[in-house]
Amino acid sequence: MAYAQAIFTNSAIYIIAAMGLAIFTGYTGLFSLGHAAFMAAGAYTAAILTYFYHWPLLPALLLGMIVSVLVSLVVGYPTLRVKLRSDYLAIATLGFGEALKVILENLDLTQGARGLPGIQKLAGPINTAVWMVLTIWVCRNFLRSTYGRKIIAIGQDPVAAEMIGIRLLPNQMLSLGFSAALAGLSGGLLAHYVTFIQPAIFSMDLSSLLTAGVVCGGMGSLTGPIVATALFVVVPELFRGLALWRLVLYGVLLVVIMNLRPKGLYGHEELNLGNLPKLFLIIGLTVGLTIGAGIYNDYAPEWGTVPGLLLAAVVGLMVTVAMNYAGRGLARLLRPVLPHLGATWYRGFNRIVRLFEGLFSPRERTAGTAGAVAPRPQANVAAAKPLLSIRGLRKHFGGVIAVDGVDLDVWPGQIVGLIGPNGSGKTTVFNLTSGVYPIDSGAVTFEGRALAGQPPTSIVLGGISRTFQNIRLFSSMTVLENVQTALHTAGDYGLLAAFVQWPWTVRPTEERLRARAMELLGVVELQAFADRVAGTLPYGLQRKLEIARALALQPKLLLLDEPAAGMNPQESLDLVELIKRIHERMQLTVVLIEHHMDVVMNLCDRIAVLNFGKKIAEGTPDEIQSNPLVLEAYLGQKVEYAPQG
Amino acid sequence: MLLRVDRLNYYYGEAIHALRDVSFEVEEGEIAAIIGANGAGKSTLMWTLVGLLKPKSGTITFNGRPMKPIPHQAVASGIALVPERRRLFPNLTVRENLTLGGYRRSDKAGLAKDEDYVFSLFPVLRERFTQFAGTLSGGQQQMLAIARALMSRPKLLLMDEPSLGLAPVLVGQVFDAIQEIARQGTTMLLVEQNALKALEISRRAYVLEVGRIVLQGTGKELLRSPIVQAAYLGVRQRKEVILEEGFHAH
Amino acid sequence: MVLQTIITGLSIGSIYALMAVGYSLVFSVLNFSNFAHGAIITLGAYIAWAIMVQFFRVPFLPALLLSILGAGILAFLNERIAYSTLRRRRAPSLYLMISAMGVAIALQNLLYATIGAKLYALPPVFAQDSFEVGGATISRMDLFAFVFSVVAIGLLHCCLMYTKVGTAIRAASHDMEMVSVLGVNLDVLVAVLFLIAGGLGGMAGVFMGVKYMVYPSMGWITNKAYIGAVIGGLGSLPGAIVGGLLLGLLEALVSVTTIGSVQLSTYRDVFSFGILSILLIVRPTGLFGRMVEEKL
Repeated sequence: MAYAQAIFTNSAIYIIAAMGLAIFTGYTGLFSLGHAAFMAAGAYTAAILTYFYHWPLLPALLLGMIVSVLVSLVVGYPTLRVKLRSDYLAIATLGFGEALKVILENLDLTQGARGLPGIQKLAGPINTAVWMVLTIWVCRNFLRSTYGRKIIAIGQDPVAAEMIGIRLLPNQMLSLGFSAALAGLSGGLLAHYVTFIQPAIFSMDLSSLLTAGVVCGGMGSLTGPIVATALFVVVPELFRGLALWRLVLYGVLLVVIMNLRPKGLYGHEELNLGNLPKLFLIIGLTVGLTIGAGIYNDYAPEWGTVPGLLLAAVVGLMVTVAMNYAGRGLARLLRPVLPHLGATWYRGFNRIVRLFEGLFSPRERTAGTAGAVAPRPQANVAAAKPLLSIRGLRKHFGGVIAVDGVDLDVWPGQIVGLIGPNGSGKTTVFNLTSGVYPIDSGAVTFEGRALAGQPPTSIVLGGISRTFQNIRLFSSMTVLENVQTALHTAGDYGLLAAFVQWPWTVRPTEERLRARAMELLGVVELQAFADRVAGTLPYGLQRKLEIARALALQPKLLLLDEPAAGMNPQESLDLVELIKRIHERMQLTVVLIEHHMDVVMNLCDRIAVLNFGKKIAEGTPDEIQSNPLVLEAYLGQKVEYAPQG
Repeated sequence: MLLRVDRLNYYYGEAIHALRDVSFEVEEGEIAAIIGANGAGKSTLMWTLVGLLKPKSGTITFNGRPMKPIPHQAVASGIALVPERRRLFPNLTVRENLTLGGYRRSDKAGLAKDEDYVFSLFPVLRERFTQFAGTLSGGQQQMLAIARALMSRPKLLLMDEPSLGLAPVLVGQVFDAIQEIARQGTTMLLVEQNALKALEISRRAYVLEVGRIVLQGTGKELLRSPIVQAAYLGVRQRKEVILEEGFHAH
Repeated sequence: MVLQTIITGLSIGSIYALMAVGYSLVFSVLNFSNFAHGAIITLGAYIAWAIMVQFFRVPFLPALLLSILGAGILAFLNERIAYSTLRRRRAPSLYLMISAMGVAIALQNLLYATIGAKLYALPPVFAQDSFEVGGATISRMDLFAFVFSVVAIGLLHCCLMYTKVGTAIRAASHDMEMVSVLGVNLDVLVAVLFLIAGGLGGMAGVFMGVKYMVYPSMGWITNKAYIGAVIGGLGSLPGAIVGGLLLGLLEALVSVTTIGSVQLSTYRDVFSFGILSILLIVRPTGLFGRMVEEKL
């Protein structure tokens, strides 16, 4: 019994740390090799406080978590500033682990390499279990909040995340801090359970266990790492003699999983009726292994190795299969019942929530705004100044001049087309305008303000949205979530509220965001697909989703980069209607790059033609179609030349 | 037939059907052209021919033998690609770029002869032999890219938008070189947005539209076709006309 | 005193540089951090131990060469097993990093499980020979290691600049896909790449083993190499060399400094981490690095 308790408590402790790593590596996509160091920071802080200063457990744990967070920011800030490369963070966490070990070994306070023995055993199976459940609950809430969505978006596609105004550094640091806090909590609990800590405990081995748990469990799931970490704690206990081989196994598993099944056990799923049998199978395997090992130990001495092995294998297999069927049976049983259970529970919950809302109504945000958004000031077509003004824009890459002195004015409410042969600089103009590339010379002015030097996220939040030639969606999120993520400026709540999901602040906001997202999906006629995973959508619909997402930021100017790419004539027509619709309804100004001439000619008020990075013509569609320079740029010139000698 | 492509299909991921039942042929010794707007699938087709992309279905037969999607085998069989936007190695010299073109060959004499040949086509490369490829101008880079491909002494030379980003007079030079290379016996398949020039010099031509071959004929025939003109510049047409006439002529 | 510090710094720095070059070579072509590099270095040292001490009595020079060859082959196998499928599938570099980490963990603990944690010493190579230069002592071994490393890196440079394969590797660091279109068999190219990187790693492992000891977790010294590579600029080979040497020199300097009553030498690792952090804030591309703008 005590043995089982020990296994359970250890599992719970490591699961807490694994949850943190799951959020950081699994969801945000950043690789940390030093989470053991964050555990160490929490462990030592909490232990020192209870041991030397006789603090009670809870404040000690909390301070340990705070120290872990601070420590993680020291590692995170320099490395996360380098965009789009996670190698630096990995190297820094490795280096940091070493550095921390040295510090711990040499400080008097931590008693050096000998460690701290005799810590009070303040942690046991019960309070650890409570902490574990609390952790899982908070993580789940976090991932469903605006903060969580932003972090998942960064993990899916950081470039697209920036293009909807999500700043990488603060959000990545938030993810790091949160995961370090959980590691610190885990460390503190560990210290007060095993009552003796030394720097050697918080080694690469520990980080490897956590990493293996998250990777094998599935990057993008919470259930997966819980199951895998528990497995990695429980199973080696059964095979005590093979302690070192356990680590070899973790390493091998990492290689095998990455090569053969990168999504691990659970991929992006959580526990549901569909994969319930799988969970039972895993439990069955573990129990089967345990029983098999027990049988082997008991019977092999008498009956011999081979018969003992055979019996163990047979019994183990039977247990596994039995559990698998039990799981399937349970799933079948629950399937018709669960929706009803869910609905009843939900109704009851709603009643309680409304009670609270009644009590706390002064704090409630104005509920009447569900769905509606304050109308923006009318775009005045007869305005005095252009909305976007480009003057003398120049950009070169190495020796190649991509944009060579382009002037363009876009007036509010216009739809302007930007056309030109391949390589004429059109996408570069977009990239310069949205701040993706720095401008070499020239000026881009939006609403009278200069855009030069602003980071892409500021430009997006200032009212310019864009879509990409190669669609960049958050493919593992649902269609609805893609749009909801982009609504992060439309409604927000504090971090604490996100963790706890107070029904009276978080729910109205989430509902409002959801309604607004559905409204936007309605504009592009995608409501029916709201809960489909975005990556499974056909191409034309993915394009529409990208537009809906861009609209979520309430832009004044929408830049569309080849929206009709890869579409057949019918789809192109639908697109033209869509753009016309959103142009009117949302009072947008649109600039679009396109090669499908039917789209351009039917849609645009004015067209600018680029060639070799210069603007060679500008005018109405009719003017452009009859302009000989344009014809030449596209179809090529009949050049009179002397034959080469 | 030197190259025969039969009902080639390629998908990007699950959803994007980039090449739809593409079928065409190129006879030995001729210049063939495939024209189409951006996004029509021209580069996708080139990459599939050279073995970088694996088609979902369909066959590619070169010199009587079926081709497998392994790039270095394509060169070994005698296909060379001059890719879109050149893709030279800017950190290597002109000489080193050419050496890589002839990577698979070990016949020193043959290589030297071919080097002379490409210098006769593009004398500027001899002048800049030891300079870094990144310092060349756009036109010179195009010439180097073609020369690099020629160094493998290919039977079939694939060229992806050779006129991209080049001033008109340079385009003329490049197309002169293309015709000279053809005269020396190399079969060529061009894909181009610059329809006029490509159609002028090609014996056989195809129009690719949203992944499908929609028109074929001789270069001259296609030059005169109103559909080709419309495909490029579009006419303000009513909805029904677009759908009806569309791009379904075959 | 200064001269001695410089000599100490250069001797450890040259080992860091060797490791950093192997790491940077793979990074520049395949664009991921091969964290298994440390394991290869460790295995190089163990091969030397096995043939010099445990099973045979092979003299130093042949043992060194055999270790280099053995480490190269192990690195090649590492690539085939852990990376080549991912590379062909064009998997994100995160996956490659995780796989590399898996190899590192597996190999290191395999050594613990089979051979054990005992530290082994490689037989002293040049006895304790050392000689004086301008008031400072240089051990013969350190000098040999330094010169050998210089020669090795020089050979690498010649290979990269003057052989067909080397030119192809340089081209691949810019555009690997195009290299394959020109007819270069990428599998062979990557194999050669890892043979070279592994060989350099094995060399570094042997020198480390002679200078200090041989034990399973010695691979984590490569942390310093990674930091050196970052200082010099990730992806740049001259940067790796300069960064490694510089880190060695700085560490040597710190080791002989005493602030108040605190011997800074114990805090060497803290210092290395500190340098890394400051560098990343001030100049993230390192000394020679290139920031590649991502194609949108």
